[in-house]
Amino acid sequence: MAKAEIQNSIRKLRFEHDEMTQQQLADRVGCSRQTIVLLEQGRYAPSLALALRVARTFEQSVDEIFQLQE
Amino acid sequence: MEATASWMVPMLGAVAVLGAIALYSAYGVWGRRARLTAEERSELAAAPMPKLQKRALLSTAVGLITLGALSAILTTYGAAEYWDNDDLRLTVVGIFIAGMALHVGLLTAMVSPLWSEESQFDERDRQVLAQAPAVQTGLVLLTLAAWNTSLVTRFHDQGAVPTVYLYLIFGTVVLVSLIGHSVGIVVGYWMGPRFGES
Repeated sequence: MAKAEIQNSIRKLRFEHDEMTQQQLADRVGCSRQTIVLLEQGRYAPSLALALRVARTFEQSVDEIFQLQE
Repeated sequence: MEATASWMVPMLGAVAVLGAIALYSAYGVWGRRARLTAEERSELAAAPMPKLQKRALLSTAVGLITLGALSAILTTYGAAEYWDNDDLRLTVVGIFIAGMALHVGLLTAMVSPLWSEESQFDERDRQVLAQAPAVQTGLVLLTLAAWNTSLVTRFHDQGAVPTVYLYLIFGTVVLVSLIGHSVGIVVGYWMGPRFGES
């Protein structure tokens, strides 16, 4: 099976939400700032629970924020 | 001499196999490391280390200092002197227990958030923690292999290994096991970005 990459628009969404900092987002979704950094870089694929918390924070659906690129 | 050569063949073969496994594992870890760009790396470095990573680095340092101090004393005085000299034995046991207590304290502080309701661990921390025993097991096996090879080589002709080495094997395996767990966490963060990759 081809390796899949998960891209996301978290960085863009943060800036659109009053320039929310990485730490503020991390506190809201319950993870470390390092995890947010890696998520934004597309270097870390989150669990479904974390993806749902990020989506809830930005009031969007998961597939609007995360895109699977094969 | 011929008898010595005959038992050394399987012994050296086993050591070669273990060494090859260790090298292959290290190569695998190196190959799977995160390949971040300089910009990504600096952005990651700007974010504070997770508590688990900080405590793992600290407990690795404590463990290595303890192991280094004990190795230096035992290398200087020798195993026989350690066995015969009560003061030396008490010093070694004291350092061992103090180092262990400090390390176990740090280890408890490291994993205790797992049991609290307001966990300070996120999912990446938990993945790193779950994979740490792989490194720990490898280091313990290598320690046992090193003891086995060196003692058999050293005492084969006498046909018996002095009792003191049983204590030393026990002590080093316990210490290496504790250090190995912390090293596993440190390595896990180093490789970190790959965890959870689809």
